[in-house]
Parts: sequence; C-alpha cells; structure tokens
Amino acid sequence: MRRRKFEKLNLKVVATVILILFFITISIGYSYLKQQLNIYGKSTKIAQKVENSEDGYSTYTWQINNYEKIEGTDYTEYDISLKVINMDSDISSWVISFDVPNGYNDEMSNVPNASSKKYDNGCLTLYAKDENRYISKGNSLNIKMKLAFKDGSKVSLNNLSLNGKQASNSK
Amino acid sequence: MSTRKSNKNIILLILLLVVVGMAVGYAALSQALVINGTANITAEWKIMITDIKEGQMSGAESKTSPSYTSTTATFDVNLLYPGATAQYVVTVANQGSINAKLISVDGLDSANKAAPSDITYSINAKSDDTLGSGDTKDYIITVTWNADATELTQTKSKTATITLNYEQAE
Repeated sequence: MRRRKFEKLNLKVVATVILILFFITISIGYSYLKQQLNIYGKSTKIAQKVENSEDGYSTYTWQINNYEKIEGTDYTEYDISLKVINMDSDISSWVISFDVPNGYNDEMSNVPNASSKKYDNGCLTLYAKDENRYISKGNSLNIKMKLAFKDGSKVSLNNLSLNGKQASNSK
Repeated sequence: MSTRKSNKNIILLILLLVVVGMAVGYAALSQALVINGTANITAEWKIMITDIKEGQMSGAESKTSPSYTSTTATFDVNLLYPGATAQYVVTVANQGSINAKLISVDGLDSANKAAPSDITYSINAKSDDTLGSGDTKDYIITVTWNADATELTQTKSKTATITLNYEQAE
C-alpha cells in the first residue's frame, strides 16, 4: 500500500517537473526572439546673436521698387530689394539683421529668399535658405522682400549686419 | 456412415487449404512501405541596422559622418539657425527567416522633454510596423530647431537615444 502511494507520488512529481520544464523552454524560446536597435543622436544649436557686432568690410544697398496699400488695413506693403556684398570671409550660411522703423508689421511681411525671419524689438533677422546660404568672399546676395509698414511710416533699413559683422550702407 | 464422415473431413480439409491459401496469398500481396523523412529546423532571427545616411538638410550640417553597427546608428549634427531641420535615414533589415514586428519606439518623449526644449526629435516609425523575412525598411529621424525659439545667444547640445523594439510577428 505504502509502496503504491510512493509510486503515485513519484509519478506526480515527475509529471509536474516535466510540465514546468516544458513551459520554461517555451518562454525562453519566445523571449529570445526580441531585438533592440538603438539610434544615438546629438544635435547642437549654434548661437545666433552676437552681443556686440564687430565692424566688417561688407556693404549693402537697398531700394524700394514699388509699394501698395493693403486693402482693409492701415498698412502699406513695400517691395524692397536688398543687395549685400560679402567682403569678409566665406560664409556657409548667412544670417542678416537690420533695424526697421516703428510701424513695421511682421505678420504681414514676407521674405521669399529667406527660410525664416524673426522680428524682435525693432530688429528684423533673416536666415538663409538652403539654395542661397553660401556667400563666398567678394560675392553678393540679393534678397527680395515685401515688408509691411503702417501708413505714413518712413521706411528704412539701417545698421545691417552679416553674420554678426556690421556692414556699411554704400547707397 | 463412414463415407459421410470422410466426406466431411475432406470438405474441412479443402476449406482449411482455401483459408490458408488466401492467407498466404494475401500475405504475399502485402508490401510494407516505409517512408523515411528527416526534418530540420533552420529558422533564424536576425534584425539589424544596415545603413544610415543624411536625408534632407535645411540649415544643418553633419558634424561627423553618420555611422552604424548591426544594432546601433549614430549621428551628430549642427543646427545653424532657428527653423533648421536635419533628417537621417536609417535602414533596418530582417535578414532572418522569421517575420518581425516593431512593438514600440522608446526614448522620444524623454529626449524632447529634456533641455533645450526648442530642439525636438521625431521618427516616422510606429508600433505594429511589420518587417517580413528578407525585407528592409527606411526610417527617417528628423531633428528640428523651433523657428520661434527665443533662446538664441548660446550654443547648446541635446542628445537622444531612440530605441526600436522588435519581436517575432504572429
């Protein structure tokens, strides 16, 4: 009787062990079929604003080609051409800043030759587009702009700097 | 009487012979067919990165050439002005015999929450993307410097580790 009980117990134990080993094998096999791929990226934003512009040798000229009142508003849109001649060093990506008078409306203005523009406290900054970002020394950059000013504003572009270096107005 | 008995015996004998004959004949017309087969399991699990290259770059320059190993890809980029974007294309290949599925993409949220917040990372991979045996897939990682950023006076860097988690597809 005791022997039978012992035999039954042994069979139970063996069966349990076998089942456990079976499930462990399946789960190990399943967990092996995983893969992690890692992408490591580092990006650096380059400082834009130079606190004190140093004098450079570049020059610029600008002119108003046309102007037109913007209907339904107190603003006039000015079609302006700006030409900057780089007389400093080769530039791989230009940033141009200049002062504009009060009355400038940034939302109504458009600069198709720049990838973006930023207006802050009377200063308009333009950033290069991919296709025109390179200006070698001695070469020029032509920019077309449509800038909106309040009616009656005296439109001017002053204190232009090219990549932080002050340029002279050769007009 | 004895004639009947001997007739019965003869019939029995004949019947016995017939049965034996049938049995022997059937046995002779039997043929054992043995099928020998060997089954081999050749399944292979192999998901890996096979390339990384520059995609569209606008106002961005790679500081060093992007590089990769079978399980990692690395890039280092300078963003030149607000609004700049850099794209890198990472190619993932399933060179095994088992179909795979992208279970999750990790690391983006934590990277985008870290400072500086005006640099953001994104990838066009999504959960449940499948990658069949023998297939490759290109994923585009995009890094952007927010065009409306106001912190412009300092050069700052941000790193990200984006993890693609693959498992066997059902």
